[in-house]
Amino acid sequence: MSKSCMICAENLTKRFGQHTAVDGVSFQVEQGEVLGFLGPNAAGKTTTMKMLTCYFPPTSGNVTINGYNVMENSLEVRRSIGFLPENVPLYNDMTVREYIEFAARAKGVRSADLDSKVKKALERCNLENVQNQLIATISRGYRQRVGIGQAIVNEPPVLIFDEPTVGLDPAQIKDIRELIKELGRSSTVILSTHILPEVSLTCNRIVILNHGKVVATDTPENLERKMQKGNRFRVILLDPPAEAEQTLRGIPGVVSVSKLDDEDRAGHVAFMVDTPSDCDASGSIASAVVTKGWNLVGLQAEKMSLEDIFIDIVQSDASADERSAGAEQAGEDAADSDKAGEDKE
Amino acid sequence: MYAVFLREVKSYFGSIMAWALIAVYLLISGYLVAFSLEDYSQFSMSAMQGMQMPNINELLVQPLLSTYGFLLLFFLPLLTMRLFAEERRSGTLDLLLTYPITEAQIIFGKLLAAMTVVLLMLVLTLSGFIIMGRLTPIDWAAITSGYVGLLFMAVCFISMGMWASSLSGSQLVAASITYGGLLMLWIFSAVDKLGFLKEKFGDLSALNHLNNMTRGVVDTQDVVYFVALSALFLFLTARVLESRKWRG
Repeated sequence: MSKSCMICAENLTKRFGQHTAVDGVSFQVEQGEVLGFLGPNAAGKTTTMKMLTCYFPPTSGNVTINGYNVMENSLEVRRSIGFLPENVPLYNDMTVREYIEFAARAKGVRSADLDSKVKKALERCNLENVQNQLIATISRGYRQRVGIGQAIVNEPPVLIFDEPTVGLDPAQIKDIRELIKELGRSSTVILSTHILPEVSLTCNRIVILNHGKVVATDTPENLERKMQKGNRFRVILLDPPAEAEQTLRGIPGVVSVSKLDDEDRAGHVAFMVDTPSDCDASGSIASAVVTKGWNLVGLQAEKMSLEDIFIDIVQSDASADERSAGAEQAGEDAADSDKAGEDKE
Repeated sequence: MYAVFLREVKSYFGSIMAWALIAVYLLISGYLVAFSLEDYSQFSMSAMQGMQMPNINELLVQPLLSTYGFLLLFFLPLLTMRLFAEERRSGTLDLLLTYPITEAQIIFGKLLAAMTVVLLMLVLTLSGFIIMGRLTPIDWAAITSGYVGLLFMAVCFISMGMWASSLSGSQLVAASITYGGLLMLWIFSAVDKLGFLKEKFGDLSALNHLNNMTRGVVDTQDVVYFVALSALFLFLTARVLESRKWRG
């Protein structure tokens, strides 16, 4: 284990009866990193977070946070983390300030430091102007900030946010993202989301979960690059002759060309030109067009968005599941009969 | 523990809950004091003709103290039902359990907060005895041991209520279970009168144990009864909170 490794999860598994919610998940988070858990609903994001925050222990596997093991040093682990649960449960009968004070006290902040730490948390989350309002009366955006405020009040090295932007309006989402980025400068952050732009905007690294398994781990940029199956160029010409499509197809390296019917503006015709990923045909396309004397209006590389990649990964995972479903079922039946045998003993 | 205690106390006194319970409790106990004083004065008038002065401790103080205990049976479930059920329903319990505090600290913080309300309730009922003490000499030692008994009983009832509250997210379920359990403890003292089950069931009655203490007798078996029952339910509450770790 490297020294800078803040969170090391090895082979985390959590079973609820027959249902395996998290299945052999391993990942590491370096100090100062912002890691995003990405996955559809019920992928195991929240369950993983509950294991990290010592809410319940893993069925098998191991986690160390800040050098402490969640099974052996649960209190030390909990002292090292700040957690924002999904849906932000708060005590509605307290004022914002009272609540942050409560969190600070419960987390063992010494009474001499209490005022300064609470003040700092209120400032960092921009809560000063609502600090004396009852939590029941503040808006969704402020609730989220109060939730983050209680997480950071004892200045833990690790912050874990479960769906921090769910249910907020676009302006509030932007604010919370800024706040998370800001927090990421001083702490290690894990956040979960099923919103794709969120991870590419806030995270250094992404772990994609599906059906309780890690299906991909990488930086947002690398993921995009890896998943790019080939290069695609959009070539827009002004009043091209009929032979244009044929000519483009003749360019070395080009696999296919398709003409797009809808013309945005008068005379503009777009062609989608696909090439293998190791062949950058943009130069030869441009020179071919120029030699012919056609009017080149636009030539741009089309990028596969993170969204496409995500759907791609999750779908390929699902089809793999279907293939192995038969085998798994047989295995489970065998396990069942084993268990029944044990019960009899 | 202090943080949880402080939060719960603020929550009790910040809402109308604690004030309403205390006010109604005092109203009823005040009425009982006035009623039994009146009753006692009439009784002593008629007793004057006889040889013996009626004993105020036996006739007035003791029944009053056990009625205070009986009233706790009706009030405490209302006090304890929200302790965990509300947190479970709103999800704040999940967050609290990830704080660096143990289950025991949470439980004792809540127990002490509820006891603070009960303490205030009982201290205010002392006013009835202070008035009595000004009119006629009464046995303060028995009253002291009676109040100690009431406190023991309150801890016991709160522990049971807290356990019921930890079971689900519904305050109604919590209150129902607590009422059921406490009424059982009370019914045992009625079964007592049947005679043949006396040995087995009479000892299970919380009121019988309280009555020993209102007489001014602090017996180990009464103390052990309350402490053991409280410990049992506090332990069960801790187990319920921990069950998230092994339930699958």
